[in-house]
Amino acid sequence: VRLRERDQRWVEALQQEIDTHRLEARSVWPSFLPLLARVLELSVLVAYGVERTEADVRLAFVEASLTGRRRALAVRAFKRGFASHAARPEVALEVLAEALGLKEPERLQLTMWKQGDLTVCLAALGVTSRVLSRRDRLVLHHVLPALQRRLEFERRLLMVPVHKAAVEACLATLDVPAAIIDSVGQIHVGNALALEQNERGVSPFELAPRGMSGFDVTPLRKGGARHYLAIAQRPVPNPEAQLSAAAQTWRLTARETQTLALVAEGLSSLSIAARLGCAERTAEVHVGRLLAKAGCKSRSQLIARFWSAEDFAKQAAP
Amino acid sequence: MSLQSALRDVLSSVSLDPRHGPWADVMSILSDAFPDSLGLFYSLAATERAPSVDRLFSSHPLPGARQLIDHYLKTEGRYGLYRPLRPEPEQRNRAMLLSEVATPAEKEHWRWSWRSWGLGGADQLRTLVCDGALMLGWFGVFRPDGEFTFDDRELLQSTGQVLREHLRWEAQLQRSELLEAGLEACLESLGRAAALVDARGAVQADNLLLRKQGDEARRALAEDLSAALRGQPTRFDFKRLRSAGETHWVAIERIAPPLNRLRWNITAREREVLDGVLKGQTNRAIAVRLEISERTVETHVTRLLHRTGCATRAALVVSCLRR
Repeated sequence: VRLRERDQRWVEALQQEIDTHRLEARSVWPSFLPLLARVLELSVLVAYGVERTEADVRLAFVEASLTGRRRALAVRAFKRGFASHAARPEVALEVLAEALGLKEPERLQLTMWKQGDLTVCLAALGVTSRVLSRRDRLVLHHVLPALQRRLEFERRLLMVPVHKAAVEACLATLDVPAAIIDSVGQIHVGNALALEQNERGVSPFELAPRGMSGFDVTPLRKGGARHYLAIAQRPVPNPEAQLSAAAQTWRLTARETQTLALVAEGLSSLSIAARLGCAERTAEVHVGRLLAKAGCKSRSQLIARFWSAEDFAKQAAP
Repeated sequence: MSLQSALRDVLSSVSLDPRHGPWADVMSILSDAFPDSLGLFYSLAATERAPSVDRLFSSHPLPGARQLIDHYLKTEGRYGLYRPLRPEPEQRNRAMLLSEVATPAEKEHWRWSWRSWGLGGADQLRTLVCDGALMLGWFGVFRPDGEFTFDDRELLQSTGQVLREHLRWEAQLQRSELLEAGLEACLESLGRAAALVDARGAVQADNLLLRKQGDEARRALAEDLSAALRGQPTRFDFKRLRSAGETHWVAIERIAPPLNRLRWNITAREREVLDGVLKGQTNRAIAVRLEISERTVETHVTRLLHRTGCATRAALVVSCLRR
């Protein structure tokens, strides 16, 4: 259905209002609502959003096509009405009309649509003295898609700082360098350890997306598939150092130390025997003596104790 | 001016997903507006250090264009024209002719580069689309006879404004998508049930481990948050996020060390079993502690080995200490 030429110009003006200053203006409502009220020849136009969750219903925002003191008055009245009448918008609209001193106001629900948990409503109020005409509906039909896109856009922009802070909070809980990087390893968001590492000259993150060992790299599912979450792996305690510490703490013979090195790698008695060049039975004897000296009941307990560096420090201290 | 409104139409009908941009349509509008010319548009990937071409569209096929431009960007503008990413102020958002900005030697170089496109004697009218000092993209037309009128220039420059607006919008959306995806990956990497919740404790984003615990656990988060605010002990640790507007929280399940350091997506039961393995307990001991059968413990351990790609129990222990 085509618009008349004059209406076409109105629609263009409205779309222009929505599209310009996309980034600068935080909200489209203050400039858009008065213009729409003028085009549709309505005295007061109200836009409000109601958010429904499992727990409750709440008012996300309310705007009126007024300026200055009357706008503030209208918004306050709507909020008051909404809060005191079990979250019923129609009652809130009446409270608003009363506050503006509108006698026997008509109410007109123009349109409403869902946006996630949010229901956005446009309602007219005052002496509207006519139903919504075909022409009015046509104008709305042409303007709404742009408006909805714009609101969705505003909602997303509003979440950007929140998401960034949340990413930072998550990364901060990790005790290793971790960051969101792009395909050349540039850090977009990182924890303190990652940024510090980056400060010190050449960043290991540069190599991370190409599969550098020492990092767990996860490609991000969205965001153009060019970004990654890179988390440094915790350095393993040096086996040599662990071995000499263990030999000292547990007073191991040279043969037992050799055996311990193989047990710590997770080898079976048979493989240990093959490496040591002895019978399986002999290897088992070595392992048995090892367990006794280390005060461990099982091999896995021995392994766990062997690899946790703090353990040796604790045992060596007294 | 009809060109501008046509472009505005195309650009405002775009979906919020930047990957399905309107650029092919934009290109066809431009080639209608500039007949006998070859149109080219490219946007830059938004990184500050190593610029590269993100998307490239041309009205006619231009073999090797992407490589040529990528090479130019890497050489930091050694062949005249502009400094990639941060052009001089007088070059930003202005329609300019190549023959105005390049020295004769540079001009020669470029015409030589375009020879394979059949544009040996062409001139180029182009606009660097910038947001402040930052370059977002490039678009322009090549005309084989090299003749551009004043109107052409006006047209290209005002078109640049429309494109700029759109590219800035896209850059914001990409950033928003990146952070959304980044948050998802970060929540998963924690290896514990975690979520982003708003001031009322309603879940805005969560991870697999929390979803596995069911709707009940999600609802319990709100109660957990109000308990935490009253200073009572809670199942989740809440980190307050500072940003304008409504307060948000990151909720992370409390787990005793050293298992809190693990970043594997394992279930609560598997974690309890792993705890035993790390302490060197036998399957039997673990079974007694958790009041399950020894066979079940074996299954859990096998699954842990499988998930972590470890061959032996010992390797599993070593692997845990690494992550």
